Parts: sequence; C-alpha cells; structure tokens
Amino acid sequence: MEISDDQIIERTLAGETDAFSLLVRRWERPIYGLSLRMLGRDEDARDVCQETFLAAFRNLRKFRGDAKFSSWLYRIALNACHSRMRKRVVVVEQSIDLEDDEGRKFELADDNAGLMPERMQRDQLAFQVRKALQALPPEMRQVIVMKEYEELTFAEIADILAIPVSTVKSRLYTGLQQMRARLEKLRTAL
Amino acid sequence: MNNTNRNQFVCDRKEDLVAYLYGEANSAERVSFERHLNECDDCGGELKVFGRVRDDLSAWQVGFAPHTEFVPPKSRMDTARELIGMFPVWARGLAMTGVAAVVVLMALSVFGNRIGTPSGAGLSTEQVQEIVSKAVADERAKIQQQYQAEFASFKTQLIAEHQAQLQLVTAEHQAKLETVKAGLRAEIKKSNQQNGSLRSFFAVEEDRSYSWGDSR
Repeated sequence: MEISDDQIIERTLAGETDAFSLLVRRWERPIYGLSLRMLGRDEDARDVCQETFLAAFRNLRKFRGDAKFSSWLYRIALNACHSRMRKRVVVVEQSIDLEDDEGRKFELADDNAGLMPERMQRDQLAFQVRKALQALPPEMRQVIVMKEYEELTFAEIADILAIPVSTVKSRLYTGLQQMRARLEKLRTAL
Repeated sequence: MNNTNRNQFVCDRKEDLVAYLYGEANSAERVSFERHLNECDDCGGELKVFGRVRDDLSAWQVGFAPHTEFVPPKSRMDTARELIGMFPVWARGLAMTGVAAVVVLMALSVFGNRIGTPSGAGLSTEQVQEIVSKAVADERAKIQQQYQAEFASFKTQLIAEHQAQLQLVTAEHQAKLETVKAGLRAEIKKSNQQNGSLRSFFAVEEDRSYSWGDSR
C-alpha cells in the first residue's frame, strides 16, 4: 500500500529528513507542469519547482493538515510563479537549434493545413496554445491551468486561491472566451 | 435570450454552463441546465465553442518533468561546524587557546586575592605565570591533535560524497540529453523528408495549372 502524504510529513518532522524526497518525487511532475504553463519557460519552471519544495520543507511545521498537502504545495508554487512574473519584464522565446545527421536544421513546411501531417499540426497548435495562454492575465491563466491540466475541482481551486467557487467559475468562463479569441487571432495571423 | 453581438453574451447562466461543461453539476443542476439548453441557442453555441477550445488546450502536453534535485538544508549546528571547519587548524587552535587563557586568567584574578601578596604566604607572580603557561600549552596541544583528526576525516568524507554525486548527476544528464537529441534529430529528418515531398507535389500542381491557362 502506498504511503500517504501525511505519513511522509510525520516521518520528516520526526527527523527522517530523507523521507521528504518521496514527496518531491510524487509531486514534482504536477508542480513542474503548473509552473511551465504559468511561466512559459522550462528554466523558470525548474527554478520554481526547486524553490517550491525548499519552501515546503522549511515551513513543514506550519502545515496544519486541515487542508490537503497538494493544495498547500500548489499555493506555494503559484506564489513563486507570481513573484517571478512580477520581476520579469520581457519573455524571450527559446529556439531549438539542432541539426539532423546530415547537418540540416529544422525547416518549416509550407502552411497547407489540409496536407500537413497530423503530428506537425498538433505541434503547431501546441505552440499557438502556449502563446495564447501566456497572453492571458495571470489570474485567468492559473484557473485554466489548474482545471484543464491539473484536473482539480472547482472547490480545490477555490481553496488554493482562497476565493469563492463562483469566482473560479467566472474566471474560467472569461478565460475560455479570451482563449478562443486569441487562438482565432493566431490562426488567421499564420 | 438574444445576443445582438457575438461578444455580448447576455445569458446569466455562465456559471451553470461552466459547471456543466466540466461535469461538476449535480444531477438537479444538470437536468435544469439541459432544459435551458433546449431554449437557449447562445448557451448551446457557447458550449460547442468552449468544447473546441478545450480540445485545443489538450494539444499542449508536457512530456516529462526534469528531476528535482532536493537536498535538505543543514541545521544551524551543522552550518556552524562547517564554518569553523573552513578555518585552518592553527587558527582554530589559537582561538581556543586564547579563550582558555582568558578563562584561566579571569579565574585566577577572582581567586588571586585569596592566594595573597608576593611578600605573604601565597604563590608568587612568576609561579602563577608558569602554571598558566603550562595549562595553555597542554590545552593547545590537545586541541591541535583533535582538530587535525577531525579535519582529515571531514575532508575525505566531503570529497568522496561530492565525487559520487557529481558522477551520478553527470551520467543522468548525459543520458537524458542524448535521448532528447536523438529524438529531435529523428523528428527533424522525418519532417524534412515530408516537407520535401510536399514541395515537389505543389511544384507539379503549379506546372499543370499553368499549362491549362496557356491553352485557353
């Protein structure tokens, strides 16, 4: 039977600090995913991941256990993301500069959506989604990310953000509307 | 319910729509909203559009999460020990000797009056100085020996730990990097081959249309 988050926390607080690594292994993927979708950059997401677990470890005694550990962790991660966004002025897109075995770099195809292989269409769409999400205001972006990718319930999101459930729904609605508009704009721009 | 403008969605059941969209409406809410959908084209349309947006959002999947290197922060005692360990042995010995000498001299000055004046029945100044010097020398030798042993052991342990960690991390990163690069190279080759086919296909199509226009 898998050991629960609460049991790992108990062991860590009892002095078995290595036990905390179990929590890190368990939650690093969702925290990384959340951070990447909030910040848009792999490097920033890794840093936030590191900061989140370090902050959680340092403040573990303050975790009361009346809420879920994951909610508390998400809250720490989101605070770290917002802190980073406030410091950031310009987002620079990273490019993949890699060659194949014959020394040729990646070449974009002519844009004919009907004939583009499915994989390329999906990659292009992922790129558009990424750009559109980054353009959303942070308070909307975070509810969309938590609902769509982390699959949290409205109640869980409301708990993490300390806002009413109705506000979560309202931001989700507006966020989805804005995403639709931005995705349409990106498609026509290509 | 009418909306005169695509951007002015006037139905007041947005929250119900969102709850329904994400399957978080209870059975009564679901029945109520489905009844509403039969009467409200706007909500029906919005639901379809949001469904498409959700499909688009699912296109961005995060393939893997990098391994988060977590090392529990040290306690204050461990940090203090490390800080002291940074100083050379002779400096630590000197500091300890100085502290020991101050303690001894303070003790002697407190009890000095009870020993008496040089002309009286107690110890002379030279004798006291000799006692202090011997005590300090003994203490110093003991401390030096102790710290030399500790320092050597600490240094060996630290080097071994760091080397092991470095090797592990380097091997991990190298393996991941090779995997990602191999994958990307294969994708680039495949994409370039596909793009090459597309271009030659369109080139053939253009030639045909040109010849038709010419024949008219």
